[in-house]
Amino acid sequence: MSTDLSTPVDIGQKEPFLLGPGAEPLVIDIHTVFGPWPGAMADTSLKSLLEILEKNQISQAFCASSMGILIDGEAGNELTAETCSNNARLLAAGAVNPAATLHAGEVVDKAVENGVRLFFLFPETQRWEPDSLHAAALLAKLAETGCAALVEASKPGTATKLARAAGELDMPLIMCGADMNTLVEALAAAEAAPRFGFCSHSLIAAGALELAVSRLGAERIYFGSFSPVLYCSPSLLRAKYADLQEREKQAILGGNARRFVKGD
Amino acid sequence: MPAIDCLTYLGRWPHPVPDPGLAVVEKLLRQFGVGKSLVASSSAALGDLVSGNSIVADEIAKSDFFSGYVVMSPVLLDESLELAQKLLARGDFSAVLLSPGPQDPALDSEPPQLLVKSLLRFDKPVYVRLRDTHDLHGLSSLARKFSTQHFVVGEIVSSAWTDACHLARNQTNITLDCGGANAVRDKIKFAVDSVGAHRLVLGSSFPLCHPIHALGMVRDADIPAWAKERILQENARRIFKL
Repeated sequence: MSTDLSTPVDIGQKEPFLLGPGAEPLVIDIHTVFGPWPGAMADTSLKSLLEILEKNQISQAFCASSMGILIDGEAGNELTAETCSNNARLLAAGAVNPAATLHAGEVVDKAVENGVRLFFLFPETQRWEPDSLHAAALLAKLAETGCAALVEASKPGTATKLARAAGELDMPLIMCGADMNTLVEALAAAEAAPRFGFCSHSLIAAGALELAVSRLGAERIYFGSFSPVLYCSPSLLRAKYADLQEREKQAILGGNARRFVKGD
Repeated sequence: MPAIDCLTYLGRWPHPVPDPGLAVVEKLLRQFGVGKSLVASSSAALGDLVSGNSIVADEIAKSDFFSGYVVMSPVLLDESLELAQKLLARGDFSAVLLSPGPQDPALDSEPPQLLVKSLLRFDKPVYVRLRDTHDLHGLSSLARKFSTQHFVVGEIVSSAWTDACHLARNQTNITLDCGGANAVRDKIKFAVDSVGAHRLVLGSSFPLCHPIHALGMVRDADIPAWAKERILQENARRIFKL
């Protein structure tokens, strides 16, 4: 049933915790980080992330350490693994920068040994092209190990390059950052590459989330907030109050991300 | 009290999502606790001043929910002033919106100065859509030169937010719109701490952003409830005389 626009919504009130048929918690944030972040205006520590998840009743979150993303993938992934092993709410995501190491494959292997099934890739921040040779090798490695990738794709051209580089790989790839200026390109990439999907936090325009669902299906859209760097409520409430069927919202808010949870 | 959305747009943008029309926009905003919105024409903001403003004038006459912006351009001075004469006298137009295009002159150059000087007698706030950080410097000069003119600056990208706060701290005739696409946490607390809660308003920039995007930022901001009330409606009520 679609959201009833005649019913007022008080966004200040405590949101009901979304539960599945078996009372399983279903809100999984596919994109969070912890640690110092350039340009951050607030605390982006682990403590801050956990407070945000608790406050917003997000049952689990894939997270990666900023150290892994920005400085040293291997050391950062170890920190992520250790951090997540101490907190049931956190699911370790790996980070790897193919422009920063000659051993990207080994970084992946090590993280996978520690249970990682999802990797965060930041080609625009890390300054590498998705269709470059070293990136192609990394993407192939991720596919070979059965992992998924969440990839920064906010600039014109990135989504196209991703589709050319990874469109035929048997690997879920979640594009992150497409806004209204790049949405058409990102949709075209996703329509050409059936394993591609969208992270929700950049689909901020009115109707953008619903458009992505209508073109690709709700099963290819994933709630992600990029907390604690960005505010959480804009993307969380956007998904909760989207003009979509309830089952579509539940898929976006957590049902889809459950596919990447170890053991699921 | 219901919130006031300081900036929504009527009309299409060069984006793949269709314009839903003001009736749907009103219904959506009311759903999220907004009781009033200021609306500007997207086509006027993109350069078609006359027909764009005319469409808004016709549409807002149908509902008390909306108050209008007269969209103006410093490079179309005569058309802008004609529109000011015609529309600002109406009770349902509360402010002016300046939307400089990529090729338009700097805000501190002569055309914008002439435009702002001509607007002083109307005593209406001027909302400036920021293109980039250079516009902040231009706005600073404009605001200093015309110190009795109130400016609201919005759609500020994340890289310009700190500078915008510093500008507003030093220039009391500038108010910041803390909506827009930039959702860096906690930009609102930063602005409250550096500028003051009384100098902030909230605009969704609908349809460029869903209204819950801006409202969600206020919800999450680590500021007292009284500060949120000021941002959500008290300041806008005062500044736009609603």
